Amino acid sequence: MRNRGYIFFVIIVLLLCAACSNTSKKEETPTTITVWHVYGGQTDSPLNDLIDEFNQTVGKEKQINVQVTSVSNTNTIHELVLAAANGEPGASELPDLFISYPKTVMALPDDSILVDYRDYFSEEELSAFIPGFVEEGMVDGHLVILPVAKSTEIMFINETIFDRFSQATGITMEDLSTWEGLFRAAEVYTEWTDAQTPDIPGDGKSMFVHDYYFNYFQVGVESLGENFFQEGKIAFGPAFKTAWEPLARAALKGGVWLKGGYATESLRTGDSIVSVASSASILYYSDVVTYPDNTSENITFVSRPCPVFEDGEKMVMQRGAGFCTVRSTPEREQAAMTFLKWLTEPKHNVEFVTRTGYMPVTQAAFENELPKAIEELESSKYASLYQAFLDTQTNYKFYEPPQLETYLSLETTLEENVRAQLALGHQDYLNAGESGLEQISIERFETFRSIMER
Amino acid sequence: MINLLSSYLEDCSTPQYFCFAIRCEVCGEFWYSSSVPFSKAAQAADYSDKKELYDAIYQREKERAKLAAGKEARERFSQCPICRRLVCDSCFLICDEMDLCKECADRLKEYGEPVVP
Amino acid sequence: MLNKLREFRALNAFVKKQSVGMQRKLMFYWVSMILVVFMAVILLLSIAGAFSWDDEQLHEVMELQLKNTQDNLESHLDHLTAQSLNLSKELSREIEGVLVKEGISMQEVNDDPKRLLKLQEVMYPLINATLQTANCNGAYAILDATTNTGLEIADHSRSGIHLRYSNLSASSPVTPTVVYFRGIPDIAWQKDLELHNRWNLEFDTDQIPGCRELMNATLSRPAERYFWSHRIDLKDTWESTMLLCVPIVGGNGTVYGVCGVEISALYFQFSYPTVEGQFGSAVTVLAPIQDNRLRLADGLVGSAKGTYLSGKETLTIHRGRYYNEYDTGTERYIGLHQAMPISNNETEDTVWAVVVLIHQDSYDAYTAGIQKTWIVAAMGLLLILLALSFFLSQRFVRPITESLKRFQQEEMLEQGISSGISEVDELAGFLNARARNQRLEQGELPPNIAELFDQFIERKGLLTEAERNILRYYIDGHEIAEIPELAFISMSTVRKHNRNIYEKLGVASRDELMLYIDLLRRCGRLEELF
Repeated sequence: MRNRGYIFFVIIVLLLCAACSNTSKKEETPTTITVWHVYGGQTDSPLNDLIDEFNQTVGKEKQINVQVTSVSNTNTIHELVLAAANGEPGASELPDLFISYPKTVMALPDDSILVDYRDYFSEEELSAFIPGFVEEGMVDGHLVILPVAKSTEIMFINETIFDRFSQATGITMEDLSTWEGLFRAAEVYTEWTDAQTPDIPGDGKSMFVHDYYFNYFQVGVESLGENFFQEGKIAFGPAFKTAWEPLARAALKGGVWLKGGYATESLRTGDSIVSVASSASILYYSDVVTYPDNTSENITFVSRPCPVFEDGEKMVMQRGAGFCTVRSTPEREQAAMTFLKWLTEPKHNVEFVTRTGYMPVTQAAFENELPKAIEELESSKYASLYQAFLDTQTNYKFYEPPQLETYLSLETTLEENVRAQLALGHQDYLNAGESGLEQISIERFETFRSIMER
Repeated sequence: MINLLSSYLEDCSTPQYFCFAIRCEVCGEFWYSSSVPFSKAAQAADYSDKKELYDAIYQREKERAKLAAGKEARERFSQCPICRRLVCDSCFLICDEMDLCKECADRLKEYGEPVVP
Repeated sequence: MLNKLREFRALNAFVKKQSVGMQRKLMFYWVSMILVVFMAVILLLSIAGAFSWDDEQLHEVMELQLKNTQDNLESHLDHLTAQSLNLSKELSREIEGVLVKEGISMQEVNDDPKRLLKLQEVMYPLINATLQTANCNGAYAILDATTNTGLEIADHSRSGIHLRYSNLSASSPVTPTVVYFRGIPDIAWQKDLELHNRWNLEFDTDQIPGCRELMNATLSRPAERYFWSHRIDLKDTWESTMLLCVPIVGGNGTVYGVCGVEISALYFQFSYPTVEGQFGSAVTVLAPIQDNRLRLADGLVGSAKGTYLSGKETLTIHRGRYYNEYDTGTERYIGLHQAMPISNNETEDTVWAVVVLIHQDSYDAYTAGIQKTWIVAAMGLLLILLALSFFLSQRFVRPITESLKRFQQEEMLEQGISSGISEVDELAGFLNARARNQRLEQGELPPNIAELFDQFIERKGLLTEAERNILRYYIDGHEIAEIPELAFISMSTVRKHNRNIYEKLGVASRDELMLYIDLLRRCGRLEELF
């Protein structure tokens, strides 16, 4: 009786194994992780292409599917992330991965919702990154921002039109290497463009547009040897005035573009021809300018290192956003890590940055992959950019903004008000004429300063 | 036993009935058998020429009565195997080894119950 | 009271000793074995797949889902069409207003940037309002006029405004940002709108097939002719979109331009998430059918989360009884589709269909899952029942076999030991009786009797010598009456002795005594009395 029981049991077990083998061919549903990023805006999106590549290769292998659920800009992401983290009504759900600057992480009510990368990256893996970049990702002692690409500020010039201007007025690109020179050139440009249409008075164009006046002042003041911040507020020292004067002069005369929007816009319509912006905005500069009469012109863009003050150090802003990962299930966190490790592999890192105007973040990428990639760059626009980049790296000192709690609010207030004040000043100037220039400049400065000090 | 008893039977008969007695040799008590009436007692009383006949019948019936008395006596008399005396039931003890008269039992230190207390 | 208790206990003991019927226990055992066989059959059926998800049920569920999706999508597109028709009428009124005031026709607006600006200024608020209130991510209006007829591109460049939402995400924020994609930039700067990074001043009508034909047609009402374009790539961007083209009709039947809304691939993806079901994620698709092929690249695909659908495939349709199969060549999907007309009077008639798709593998996985559940359940029950059978056999059948074994070993000769099973006890009783009889026939004493003899003989030891003497006379065959003669004792003495002898030997009468003696004599055991 015993033996028969055992035999029977064995048969049953065998049958069960046979049955299970039938079911094992089931394909698991992939783990889906969501991403919000800024790489691409509304134009091409190299990161989206890389994500597709990942999904079709490693993703299929490891049952991971990366889905982009928002492509926008850092400010929008900043708003959305804060809204989500604070649980505001109508807020979207936080994605698994999002691009962020330290300022966004610092503004979070609770940064324990983010993964500390030291839990997933070994010492060895982390040492492959350029140390300074990794440090920038540390907030409150946790490594919550993983660097994927670094940018700095670059001056972009519409060479085609500038050459015409240069020929007519004698101003050269060299003149643009200092702020003072640049603003003087802006004044001349306004006059020159106004003169082009003698029958229409006062339609001079603004030569110059800057995306971040906050950076202009911050780096400017620091490069002149003074502290920009003092006890969480802006210190309005003499250096600040040095930075204010030339800008105000040109702006009041109409030589500086003060309307909202990114620098790329006014260059696109041919209104401005020189801009200082993040090196990453190269992606958004089109090789075509469309004029109001619907004519278009193919133009060449060149990149040059950011201008500096005559008496100041060669200093430029260094920034780069990184990816933050939101804590969830171990499965999804692991999937996110797999993707990030793939993305920061030198080969993929360089592929990505060279299409977007960033610098790679690992030693290996810098030393091995980047030089090769630069040689292969077809677009002269990009070649020019990377040349400017290398120049900057050689000759300039990189400035890193401090992690202040008030940084964000100061930045927003300054950007708004400096443009507003200068725009009002421009109006005043048009009414008052040349004589009132100094006066207006000082008035506007005082108003601006009093607003900032509130 | 009957024969032994008949030797001990003493005749106590009368012309009207037959009766016998035995005397216990230990306690000396007499025992009388049941009187058996002579069947021809009335006739015998009359002197008659049949006297010899009636005497013969008397003898015959006496013999018979003697036997009957012997049977009766058998009921209540035993012979002690030691002293060989005839004893009544009151003087005859049932002992373990043997039934003895009370004097022999006493002498031989045997104890028992009398047949008739 | 105590007596009652004692009685009850005795009764209980009695009942316990009563044997339960073998038949009843055997029935339990059989029933469990039958259930075991039954479960084994079910297990085999599960493995063979008899209990897998019914295709018919899948069909029902898919039909329901298709109907829901179709209703949603139809209502969505109908609303958009209605809103676009409304936009067209309002634009028509405003544009005509401007033209009449200036006293010109649309033709004369060409090469006139100022007038174009004016027209765009009246168009902007209407387009913006439509964008904000419609369930779409873009709204536009194209005028049949251009800024510079002298240019090469002039024949396919048309002026207009195109507003789009930037920053779409799956869970949309409350007020998404509007971006100026096409149009005269002055308006953007006036309204403080950001220019799209790939902004251009005018539309390239070559990019929108059918647009120019619509503008050249003669219509009396906008609803007479409108269409949804195939999915087109937005020039220089990574996005693609479907545009609804509705003519802007003037008073005398001329068409001033085209307007409408757009649904981008990304927006559609966010608006139609996957529907999770037990058999996998169902994806919603709106695509044209051509030559029995579903062309996803020309239509829009909802969220493909949980599948590897890229949105560019062409699926070959294989019709089935309960559901259709859609085949890319490398991947297979199952689902249902339904034709849905969304355009009116199109030049090239496209057959649009709304489709609901599930990846074949996930459906298979589900059926396999069900199968596995059945198998595991059947297996589990089977094992339990097997255990039960074994247990039952232990408890019920074993005693039977054991008692039978004991029986063989002649342990049941003694009365008073029962196996607890009535049939066995009956058999035991029967066999015992037979054995007893057999033994008797062979001259053997039945055990009780032997016992009695033994007792009798033992008790003889209790007799005194005198009593034994008397007994000897009896053994020799003498009667009681002869004893006085032989022993020279009185009858009373004899009687007394008799009484003692009877008592000591445990007999009731002389007859019984003589019976014993007689029987002992017959058995040859008489010597033992001495």
